[in-house]
Amino acid sequence: MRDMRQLLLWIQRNMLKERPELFVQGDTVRPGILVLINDADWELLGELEYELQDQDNVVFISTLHGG
Amino acid sequence: MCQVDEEYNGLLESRSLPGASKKCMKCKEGTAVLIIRAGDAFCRSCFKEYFIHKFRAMLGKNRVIFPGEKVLLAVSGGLASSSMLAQVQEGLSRDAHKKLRFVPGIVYVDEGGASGRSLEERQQAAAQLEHIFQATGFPYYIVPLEEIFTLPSSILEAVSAISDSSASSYKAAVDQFIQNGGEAVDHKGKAQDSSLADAVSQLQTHDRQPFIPPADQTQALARLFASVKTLTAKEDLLQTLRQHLILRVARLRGYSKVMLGESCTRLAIKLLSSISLGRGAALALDTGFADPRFGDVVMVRPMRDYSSKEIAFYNRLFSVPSVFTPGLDTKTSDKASIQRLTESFVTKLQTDFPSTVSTIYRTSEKLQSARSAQTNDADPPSKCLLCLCALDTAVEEASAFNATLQSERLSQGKKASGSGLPAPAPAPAPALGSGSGGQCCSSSSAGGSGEGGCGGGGGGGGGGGGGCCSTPRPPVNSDLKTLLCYSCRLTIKDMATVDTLPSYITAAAEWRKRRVEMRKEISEFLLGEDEDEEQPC
Repeated sequence: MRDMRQLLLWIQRNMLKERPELFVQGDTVRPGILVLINDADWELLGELEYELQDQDNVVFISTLHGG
Repeated sequence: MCQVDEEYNGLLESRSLPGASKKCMKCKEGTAVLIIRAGDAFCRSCFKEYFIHKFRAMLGKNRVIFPGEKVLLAVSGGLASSSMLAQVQEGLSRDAHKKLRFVPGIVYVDEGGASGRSLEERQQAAAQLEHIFQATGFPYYIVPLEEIFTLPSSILEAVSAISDSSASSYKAAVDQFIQNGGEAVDHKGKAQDSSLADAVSQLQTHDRQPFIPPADQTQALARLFASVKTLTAKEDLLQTLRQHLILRVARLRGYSKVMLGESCTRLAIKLLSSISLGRGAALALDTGFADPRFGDVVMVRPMRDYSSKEIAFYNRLFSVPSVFTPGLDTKTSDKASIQRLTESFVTKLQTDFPSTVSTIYRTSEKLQSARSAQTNDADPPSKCLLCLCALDTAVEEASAFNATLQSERLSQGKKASGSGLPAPAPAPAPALGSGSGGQCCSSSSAGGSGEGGCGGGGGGGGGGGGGCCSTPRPPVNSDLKTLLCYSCRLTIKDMATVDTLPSYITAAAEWRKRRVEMRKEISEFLLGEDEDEEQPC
């Protein structure tokens, strides 16, 4: 895995058990879900293009109703 | 056209430019950790300062909460309300001159019964929340939604407020507070306390121990929500019931303000979905900073300046605890309900156009309800039974509302008679006796019961008088509907039966109906107040 785009694909394939559309839409996350890389906004880090480093901590937070 | 497209494309590209080494726009030193609006990058410490300041500024600007006043925080465990709780804690821990001066309490309404969650799950969530609440040291009340079945019908009466929220009275209250050496000034609600004492003791049982709602009430709640046919109506009903319950707790415990944790993102969504739900007339109350519809208890929304992104980041960066509880709309698709669809619409638009939410929100700030001046608080029938907003159904004949009713009536008439013949429009209904509860007098020829359940011009809510149907009457499947605003009618219309509604609603409906009848009976003996008051304006 090199960048966020690939991480999302990997999550979609390996971790999501049901209803992937509630997490990903197109090749990015569903609008309303925030992505934090090492506690920083991924919008500052290039979003999908961000090159993942070893020990990076990626957090997804849903701001949508019902989680 | 092409030009427009190009402009937007440029905007989108510039937004997604990687700016890994961006500096905070405020201190120009710290490394930015988040972007708030388009281009506004903040570092961690500046963000914290900005966030905390915003909360205090919101309260300071509006001057609604008086020093020493008891304020109930409605905390669901979600991000926004948990963040609100943290802000109140923060504000109270400040040194004297900067300290928030109100007395907080917390209420949590456990809605697990409405979304069919197991008792274990619910108790687990409640225990987690209790843990958070205990850490604050504030008094807290954990109330299962099942309590709606024990509510008194008086909850649906708006109490006329004696609140004078002018700036001068706020100043006076602050001065008095300071003179009293920081002692709480109890300016109202003292008299209520004694009469409510026994009721309080009833509710006390749910206080500090794990609650177990009676199984029959849980079943009744499940039946209630099962009888609602659409998720849209379910969510609307849940919101109404939750509000009643919070109001009840606030009244019992002598809280005169309730803080709701709705963020600006949430309010933007609420604004648009409310319009879709036919709540346009109540928008100002539904989305404004202060909502005085209940009279004695005012709902305030101190989080309405924060976007949900700011809140989520704050909670994450400064470890504000929150508890996730699945609700009615968890794991549902985008099109499951109007509220859900609006949410997805707004959030999608927001990703490409970062000022979407703030634009909608600014609109909501400017809204005022046109009727508020005319509404007579002493006259309960002028308010919707469920949402307690001014009734928007008393409109002139040539209106969209009446046109909708008319076409509904016609199409139902067709359905009932089976032929293409339109039903007789406002046929005088047979004089009805007392018009008992549930079904109304659908004129026997139409025979269309079931949903909508009204043939011709049936549904004389008045009863006694008889022959009062000279004007087109709204089609009602129960007397209940005549007491509701347009939007609440839609919600009730989506219910298979109104028998599952908690008794306080039906009791209040009965009471109001009787009041109307009584007024009609004695009307000729009353002095013509209305005529006297009617002056050319």
